[in-house]
Amino acid sequence: MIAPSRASTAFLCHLCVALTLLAGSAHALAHGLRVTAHAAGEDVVGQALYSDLTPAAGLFVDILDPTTATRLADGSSGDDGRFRIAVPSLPAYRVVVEGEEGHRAEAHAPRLTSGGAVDVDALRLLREDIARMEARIRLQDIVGGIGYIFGLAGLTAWFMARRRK
Amino acid sequence: MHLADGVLSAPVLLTSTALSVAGVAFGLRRLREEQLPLAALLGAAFFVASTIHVPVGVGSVHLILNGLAGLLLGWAVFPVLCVALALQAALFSFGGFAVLGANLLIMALPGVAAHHMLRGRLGPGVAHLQALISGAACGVIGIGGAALLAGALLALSGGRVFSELIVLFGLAHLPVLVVDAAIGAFTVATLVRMMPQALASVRS
Repeated sequence: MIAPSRASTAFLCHLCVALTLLAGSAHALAHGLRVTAHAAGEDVVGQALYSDLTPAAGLFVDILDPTTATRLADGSSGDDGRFRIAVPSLPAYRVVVEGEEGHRAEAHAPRLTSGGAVDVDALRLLREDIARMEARIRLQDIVGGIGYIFGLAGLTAWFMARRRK
Repeated sequence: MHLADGVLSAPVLLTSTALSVAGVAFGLRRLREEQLPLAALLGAAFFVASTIHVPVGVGSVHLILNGLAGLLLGWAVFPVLCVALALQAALFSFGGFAVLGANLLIMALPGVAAHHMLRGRLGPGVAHLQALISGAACGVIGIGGAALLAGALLALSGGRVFSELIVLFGLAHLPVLVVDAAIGAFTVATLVRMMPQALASVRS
């Protein structure tokens, strides 16, 4: 009884590793998509990341006018998830990033202006850092969600016990 | 596999939400008291599984486990996954609240299918190999069905070619399918051997 089960488990493990290595296209597996963008000169530049912080490559990027929602320009993200798209001059833009597997994210892209000691590049890095922290899944969120599930289960058990009486 | 807000057209969104509400209502009526701890456990497992990315090869892989949850819970998988998906949308921004119904349909319907297709194979004294195959089939039906449904909903609302979407989803989710099938096979085989009473509700 034990010998065939070990053999079949080992077989399944090998199959699993082999097929995973074969398939490779794993970026689409990440669930959330996040985008940061800002206007710099004649362009809108930004970066799209999945929730596991891998770059979102090859996605369609649309730049919209935030007031009228008309499309001003479009392009796609590069291998590192970054994009640079030339646009007509406006104070701010709306950026919509869309992938083929039903991923979609939006961002507000203001025009960054530097006054004094901080330059535009430092502001860009700061905005990207904040977006990365926002995209990361935190342990307290996971633990909190499990708490909700057990609380709801307790509530349901309570209602069921009352109904039984 | 979570579709984001704004990718589905309004009729598809409304129809899938209506079907999901019906599924949740029916599932709540079918949820029996002795199933409740297992339902909560599987809901928590589904909620957590998709947040844990295990790097394998060039990419990362995670579990979905909708087929296994469906096999063990039947129609009750609808309310269970509804709670888990709502929490994922609220806490991790996976998917969104407007598409919650569509995402629930994508995840839960293959689970119900796995339940009805496989429950006859898990009678008392089932052979070990049979249990392994049934468990692996959970992963295949769960993930394969979810990929089919997601592709169908996107094709219906976007007018894009269904066959292309299916190839895309199929390739992207092959690792998930394999890992889910392996975990499903292991779990069902272990349950059959160590806790056959846990599968009693599957047959009834």
